Amino acid sequence: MDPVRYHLKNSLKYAVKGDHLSAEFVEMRPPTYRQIDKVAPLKQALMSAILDVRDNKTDDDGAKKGNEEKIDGATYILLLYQGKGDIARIMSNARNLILSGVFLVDGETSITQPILDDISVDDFEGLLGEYIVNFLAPSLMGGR
Amino acid sequence: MATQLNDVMIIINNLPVAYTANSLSWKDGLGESSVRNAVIGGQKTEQVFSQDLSTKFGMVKFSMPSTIENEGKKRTWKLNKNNNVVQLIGPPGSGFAKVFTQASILGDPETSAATDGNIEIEFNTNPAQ
Repeated sequence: MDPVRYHLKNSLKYAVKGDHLSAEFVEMRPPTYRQIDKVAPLKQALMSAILDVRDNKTDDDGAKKGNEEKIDGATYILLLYQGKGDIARIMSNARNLILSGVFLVDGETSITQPILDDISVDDFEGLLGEYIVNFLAPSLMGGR
Repeated sequence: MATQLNDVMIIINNLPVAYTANSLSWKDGLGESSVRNAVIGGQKTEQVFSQDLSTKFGMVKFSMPSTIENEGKKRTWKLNKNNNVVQLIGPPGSGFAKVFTQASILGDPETSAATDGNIEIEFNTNPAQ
């Protein structure tokens, strides 16, 4: 799996090489075993959310359609919100994953708590959504 | 009601730093100025104001407890030359925030191994943003 870039929608400043710059993007790298304690609960929450939402679906055609369409990051986030899991705990796990070194501002600087404190909610959810699309969901669905 | 500005967070190179209470001070880097008189005549003078731009350096000074972790931070900041960034953030809602770029430790910081020993840190920086 190759790293993926997420272009920030809102302004974010960070310190790098003696300067205080505005970030353009966050590079997301695939998780390794070092992130297993952060990734596993997120995958479990995602699976639970998918099953919760599928159990509530009554329209068979809609379910078939859902299986064929590619799901984007925003939809995965919506699934998590719709599921019965503790969303605060899910977001806390996501925060720990983002702080674990696989998210790099402008491809260089690891996101730290002070940087994360300044990220907008939209970008936080955007980052999580894209990470799920590119690394967690494929791994959950058997590497598709 | 005015509140004393003594609850400031120090962030250096994107990481928070725990420091000894009441040890933090800073200069914004506004520089030094001087005034002198110019004679107009008839007992009148006018003021000539000048700013010494060579003194426009910011400064951030604080001490932190002598721990192994802080000793490592001291060395890293010193070896980083002028590639450090120091941020000062006030309490939530205060709106107080200053950024000092190109921060460097010019001296050789001293570490005290006493029971309540501290490491004295002084950064020389660009004027505060």
